[in-house]
Amino acid sequence: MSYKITFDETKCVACGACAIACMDQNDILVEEGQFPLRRTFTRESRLHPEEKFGYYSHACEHCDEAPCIPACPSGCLFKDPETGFTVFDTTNCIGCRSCAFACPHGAPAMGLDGKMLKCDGCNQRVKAGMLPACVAVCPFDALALVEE
Amino acid sequence: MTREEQLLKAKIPGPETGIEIRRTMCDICAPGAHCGVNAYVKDGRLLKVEGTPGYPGSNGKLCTKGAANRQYIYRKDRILSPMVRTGPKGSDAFRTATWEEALGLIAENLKKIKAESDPDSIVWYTGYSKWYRPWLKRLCHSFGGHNYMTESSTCYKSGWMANNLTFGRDMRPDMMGRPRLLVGWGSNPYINAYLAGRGFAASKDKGVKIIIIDVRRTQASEKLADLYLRPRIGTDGVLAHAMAKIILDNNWQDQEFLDTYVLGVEEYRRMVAQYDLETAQRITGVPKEDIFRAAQMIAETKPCSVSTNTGITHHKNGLNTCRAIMALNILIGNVDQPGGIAPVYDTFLEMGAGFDTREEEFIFETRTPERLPLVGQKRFPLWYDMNHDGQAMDLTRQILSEDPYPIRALAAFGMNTRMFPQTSQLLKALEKLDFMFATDLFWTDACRYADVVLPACSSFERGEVKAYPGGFIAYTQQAIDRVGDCRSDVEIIAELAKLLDTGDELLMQGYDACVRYIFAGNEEELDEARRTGTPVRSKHFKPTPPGSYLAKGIETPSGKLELYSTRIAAIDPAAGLDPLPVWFDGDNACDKTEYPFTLMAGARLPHAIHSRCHDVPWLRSLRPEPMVDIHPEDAADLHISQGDPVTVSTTAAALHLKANLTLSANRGDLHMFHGYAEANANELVPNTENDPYSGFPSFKQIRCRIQRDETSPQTSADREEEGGKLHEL
Repeated sequence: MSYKITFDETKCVACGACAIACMDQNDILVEEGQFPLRRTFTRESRLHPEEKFGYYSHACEHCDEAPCIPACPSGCLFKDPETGFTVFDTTNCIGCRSCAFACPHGAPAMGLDGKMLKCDGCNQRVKAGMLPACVAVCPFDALALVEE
Repeated sequence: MTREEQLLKAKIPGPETGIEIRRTMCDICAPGAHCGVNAYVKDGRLLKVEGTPGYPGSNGKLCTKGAANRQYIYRKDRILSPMVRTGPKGSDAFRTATWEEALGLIAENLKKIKAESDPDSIVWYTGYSKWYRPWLKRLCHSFGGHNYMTESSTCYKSGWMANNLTFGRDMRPDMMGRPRLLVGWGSNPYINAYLAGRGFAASKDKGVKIIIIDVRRTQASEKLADLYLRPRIGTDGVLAHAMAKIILDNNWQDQEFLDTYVLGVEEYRRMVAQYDLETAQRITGVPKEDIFRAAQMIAETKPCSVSTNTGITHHKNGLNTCRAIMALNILIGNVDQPGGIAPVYDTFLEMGAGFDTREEEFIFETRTPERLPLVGQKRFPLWYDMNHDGQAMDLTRQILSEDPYPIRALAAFGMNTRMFPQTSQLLKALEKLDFMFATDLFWTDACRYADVVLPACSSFERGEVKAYPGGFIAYTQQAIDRVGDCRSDVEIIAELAKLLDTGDELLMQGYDACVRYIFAGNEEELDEARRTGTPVRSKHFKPTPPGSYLAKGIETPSGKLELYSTRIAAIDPAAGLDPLPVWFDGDNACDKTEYPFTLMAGARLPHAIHSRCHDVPWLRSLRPEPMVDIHPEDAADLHISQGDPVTVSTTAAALHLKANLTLSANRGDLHMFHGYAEANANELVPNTENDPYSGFPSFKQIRCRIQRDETSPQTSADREEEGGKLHEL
């Protein structure tokens, strides 16, 4: 079984509720410079006459062939066979950022302890039959948990 | 990590972790939403929040602000115990006190001032949240006073007045009746009321057409609008009149409806006749083809619902603009029709839930006849006529001038001083008071000017009753341990009712007794809702079918829908109010070459509401600094780049903040969010620029100028990439 968190651009308004829910779920210390594991963006294209606004929410994509997994020299990253999420155990993380360089989406970041930190799909919640925090909160249903 | 540690870290509820889910509600914004919350609690402490699935309205969802409840509740500046001032007003020199001492001091001072002067020399003011308003107003009455006023002196009430003048009742879009065209005028429902945003988005998915009219490009204009009109700031009234003229000129109006139900059609027709398309295009800046197209869509699509929001009333011509917009619903006969606009029957706390309560009786039964004019009564006679409350926008003037009598004391419940235009003048006025006490969750500016400060608690730390559309009654219980030695506002009010010798037995009995009085006949529902934590439908719920309001009798003085307001016509002509919704230029008088821009203070951000979210670190992180939105080309002309420090000045004040270049702002307009301690947008709004009809300040139309701070390092405007730029919300 494999889960994905999907994003529907047509529904997102970049209100940031998903980012806040992520902070609440993961006790993110923004005061100390930490960032949430999911973030929202507004992109304005200012080319006349094609001015337009794009609204996005972004986090780890939990790729099927996740390049961060083989990139890690310490074997911290792996797939949870039960959920398919790209999860991690950073006990042996050396903070080399190889995962971040390998990721095309810029998902892995460094936590305040100098070890890798990224979205784990709210793996434990999904295993317990609950939705990821960002999916549960999304006021406009732009995020969804789908089973593949 | 052990399995137990993993579960605890992930906050999985259950016996393994000892985490329990308790039901409560979010009170951060206005009662229109008050979403149901599942509070994840362990050892009395809140670990996480989530929406409650199945809850009326919110159904498991929360907005950006509501998702941050945990940090809001545990904000670092929560007041932990009663405080008594020991140093100068405006300073932080306070000592802690017991509840007994603090309440005793309040009672002693208020009783003394009442005996020496008059009960109305004491003002009872309340800001957010709104849950205890009936209790506070009754306390004011039971103590012999009438000078009760609220933050609704700048919010919601102007639109409520406009609708009451025109329709005899407040009106809302009848979404249940499936409108086929929704006109959101000055409306960004995604952000200002996300549940309405969900409704708009769901309608769009079903093929409903949407017109958005807004001076700002917003998520609504970009995502929802089939047609987007962008008038110049303060010219919405002209746009509405021009559309009315098109409808009448083309004979698209519902003439039978007008003949049967409407007063003042000919006067209105003569008034709008001056706004031909050329004139309207010149004044509003909206292409005449778009004005015509919008009028045609409104006239031809049935049913259609035209609605607007509070922002439109923050102009000197705000109330009339609101009347002008809502008048379009009359022309096309979509009042009290399925999918048009429907009357609102308040059940409790300005929410219609489809059954009656004794809220009005509860509030007014201890009121005595007035002896003195209330605050604002002379300056804003229409406000007084319709509300019989004080208009807080005249409070600063009356305290400072003592005209027509001195205000000596202030009871400030949840007072956000930055809601007042030219806040520094209000603070000067507060210094003059003989006595002031404040209740709040947080250590605010109002607290600094109070003699006694009482710590209040959040909705999670107490129980609360709410009525929701569909006939639902919710009755929460305290979900988490209280922070410090705080008490609920109603506990404070009940205690004061005793100490102030009001003799008001019901008020003294506390919240539950009062709720049972107000919701008489719903005792089983209250008990069940409280026991189960789940909202229960009242057995008295009775939906109001469309058409019943017109059939029963329109509640205006004339019994007709009034394009010409007989209620305004009855106001002293010296006030200069026009019974027709005439448009006038709302610009403030000043040298327009010196102040070439127009400032709009209060344009909404998704992660802020007034001042109370700015000190919640999670929310603040989404836009860490106060910013002013400016069009990229205006910025280029002034050599301003993204993030540059700038100064925005008006005739009232100057403010330093950062520039945010965005197409959301029209050329010539600047937008700022309000309530920041270090950049209080409302300080820029002169305290003289008020709508004479409502008393509302002109927050959204103030002449200003902007310049890049000279002290900043030279930055190049060309650094801006033409192809757009990625920046965080």
